[in-house]
Amino acid sequence: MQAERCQGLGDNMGGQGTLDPQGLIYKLRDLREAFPFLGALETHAPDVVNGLRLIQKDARDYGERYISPVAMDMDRMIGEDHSYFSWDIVKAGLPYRFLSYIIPKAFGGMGFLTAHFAVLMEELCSFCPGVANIFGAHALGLGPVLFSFDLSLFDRYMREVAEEEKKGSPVIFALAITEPTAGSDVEDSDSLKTARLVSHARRVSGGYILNGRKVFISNGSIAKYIWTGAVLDRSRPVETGVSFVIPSNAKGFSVGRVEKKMGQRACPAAELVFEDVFVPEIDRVGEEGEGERQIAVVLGASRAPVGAIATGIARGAFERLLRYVSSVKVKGKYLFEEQRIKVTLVDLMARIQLARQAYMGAALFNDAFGPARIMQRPIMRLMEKLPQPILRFPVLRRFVRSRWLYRKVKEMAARHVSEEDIRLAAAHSSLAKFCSSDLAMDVCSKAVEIMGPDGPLQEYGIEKCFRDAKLTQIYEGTNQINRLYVFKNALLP
Amino acid sequence: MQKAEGSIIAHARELARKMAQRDIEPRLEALGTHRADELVKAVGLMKGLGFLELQVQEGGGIEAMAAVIEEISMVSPGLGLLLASHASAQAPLMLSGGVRSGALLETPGLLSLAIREENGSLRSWEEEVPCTSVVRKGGAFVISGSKKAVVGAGAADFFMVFAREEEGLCWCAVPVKTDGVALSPEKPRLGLLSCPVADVAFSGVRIRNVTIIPCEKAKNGILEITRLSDSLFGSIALGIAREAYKRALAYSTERYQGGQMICDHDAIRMILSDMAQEIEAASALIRSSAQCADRREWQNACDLSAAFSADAAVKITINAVQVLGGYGYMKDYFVESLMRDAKNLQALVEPMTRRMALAGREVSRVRG
Repeated sequence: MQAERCQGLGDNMGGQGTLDPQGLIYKLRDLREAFPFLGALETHAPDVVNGLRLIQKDARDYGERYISPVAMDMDRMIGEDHSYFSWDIVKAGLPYRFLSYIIPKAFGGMGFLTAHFAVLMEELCSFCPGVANIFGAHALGLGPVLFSFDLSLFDRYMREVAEEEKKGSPVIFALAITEPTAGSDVEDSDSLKTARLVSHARRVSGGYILNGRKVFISNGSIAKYIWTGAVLDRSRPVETGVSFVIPSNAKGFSVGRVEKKMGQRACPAAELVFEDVFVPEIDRVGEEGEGERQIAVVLGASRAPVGAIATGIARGAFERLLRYVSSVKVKGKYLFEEQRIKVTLVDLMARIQLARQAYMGAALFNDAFGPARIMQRPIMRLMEKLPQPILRFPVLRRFVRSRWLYRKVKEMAARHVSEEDIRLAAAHSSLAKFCSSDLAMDVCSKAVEIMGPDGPLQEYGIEKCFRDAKLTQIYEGTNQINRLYVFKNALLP
Repeated sequence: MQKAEGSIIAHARELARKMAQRDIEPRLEALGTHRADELVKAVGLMKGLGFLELQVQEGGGIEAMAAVIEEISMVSPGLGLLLASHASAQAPLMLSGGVRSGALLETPGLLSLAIREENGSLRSWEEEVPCTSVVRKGGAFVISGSKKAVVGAGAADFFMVFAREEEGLCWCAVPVKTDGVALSPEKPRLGLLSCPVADVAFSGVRIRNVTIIPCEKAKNGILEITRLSDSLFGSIALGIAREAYKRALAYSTERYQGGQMICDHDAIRMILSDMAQEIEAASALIRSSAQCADRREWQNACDLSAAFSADAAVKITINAVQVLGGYGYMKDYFVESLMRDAKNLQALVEPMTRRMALAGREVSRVRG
């Protein structure tokens, strides 16, 4: 048998019946190829589609310049020393403003919505989901603040993130939900009633005292601010759920163990310990009793981007596989010329396309009808139009931070976003999350298998995709629990 | 092992289980980081218990070997792979039955099967001849060529090399410490980290004895070897799957969600029952395949046990991680390691290639 390996990708390009992997990769990345319905949408809302295209371009630029060269080494290094974290890779992303993506423009951010963020995630994850998840988990941490519609918190925290980002200093958020003995329990009002909760807050003069532990918190060990939830009364967890923004230098707060993860290693997952942490009242997010709802709303939106994360990982594996099958020859023929490989490649491509439609549909629904819709209301648009310095005038700043405005925005949110639509948005997101992550796991698994003994070798990068993909079936609610959420939110009356 | 046939399998299994739990488990971390001294100790333990000769000794056989490999793989799939590779490398000698082969069987040492070449699958030898060549020079044979992904290279004492010779094809038992044998550095990979895998180059390696087999017979021999070793590789997968299932089951009876243990949730029970079903099916297939191999009767089970079990192990371990949730994804809980091992094993077993080869033979049989 004569086995050969091409020197590069170029020598089998062009001509009928040959595979042009790089050309195909670019084609698969094209938004209109990826989401045929966006082609139709473009005729009605060209700005939306152009915005998505620009995000994709930025993400690809960042991925090719900064992630690709270091992703494998970083994975290996963290495998050996799990406490390692690369601030350099975060700092390289600052000019792209990824940390301010979902922060409203009025507060110095980019003002992007769920669909934009999902496209960013898919693109970054095709390079390295660990790095992407640093930005993803940060946005997740900002999520409850955003959906609290408390402009006072926007002004204090979101503005800091955006301004520091412009100065070249990353301020990172994390979302702390999972507890040692309660994972999915904390994410759903029905399960929360019987959850074995550890975290607890009690009212004191001027604020709260928080005690408890959270585990597997993405960005937990590197975040400057942590959104965390607790209950005031363990016997009534749904009614007494409350949440806070905790600075990492708060007295009584500490980082416990940093986990040794199988994949997505670039983004650390840590245990967080709260021992008599005093939280001033102004750092409470929303009202007492809203804690569980905030989680439900945030996860209802963020699970669509998790679908995008999974899709990005699958696409990354597929792109690497394309390069492999078009550069390796067996018996004088390229691997892709074998019918079984052709059939499998198309199978994998179909899975990626299905996953894409699921997450983009959910993201657009959330932006059009879910809580993200509020960000597009005239009052928010008006604030965007105001020059930034004006919003810093003391009078205006007091107005922005006033409880009156907070109540008005909340009333507006309640008027414009129906409960039914919130439930549907959550159902679509859950569906996108479990569909896309299951499909991604299939794609990565098959990609390793097709390569035979080369598949598990780290040098090809596909085994990393396989390890990385598995986490998407677990975080933000296991796929089993997400199926039940779909039943609850879409099938029950 | 002086037990009567029949009880020898149970006895061997018990011995393997105790050894794995008592002696291997405490060394797992060191074995996973390629500590050569620990690997030598582990191989010494297996040798001391007679596992290296179990397959060829009276009363032993493939079924007993498969049982031992399964038990060891529950603790260290990498060591299970090392033993399976050794047993597979004994197969050419068992099947050819030559005098020189007989002498080698008595040679104490670990064997490693060197068949695969660059970009070639195990089964492609049914149609192709190897590039690695053997030439007579004076009173010796000179081997030149290279072999890819040689399982056990680095730990083995002998390579069992498949090569072409002017009179046909041949098997050469090459001592590892022979001039001209060079091993590539270990490549970082997904799993099965206790078992060294490397590419091996033979540059003008001179040896005295070569078992030459006429070409057609040799090609059939390759098929028989892969059939013979199928249940051995399948039993690694079975060991991995059993351990993953055991851990998922245990966790599901400890973890509470929604006010009840997660094992009481239908969604988890569906996963657990799928796991149990696939383990039973794989186990039956492997037993049947091993018994056929011991009788040298080749049935389809002999072609499918490794492929089926490897696929099942991948599915089962992925689901085991799922049952454990966040904990399953972390290194401390071992199931993530089993998942990586299962996937790595599947890539070595190449289920799709095996099934395609079987389908090809079935089609040829029907066509006459």
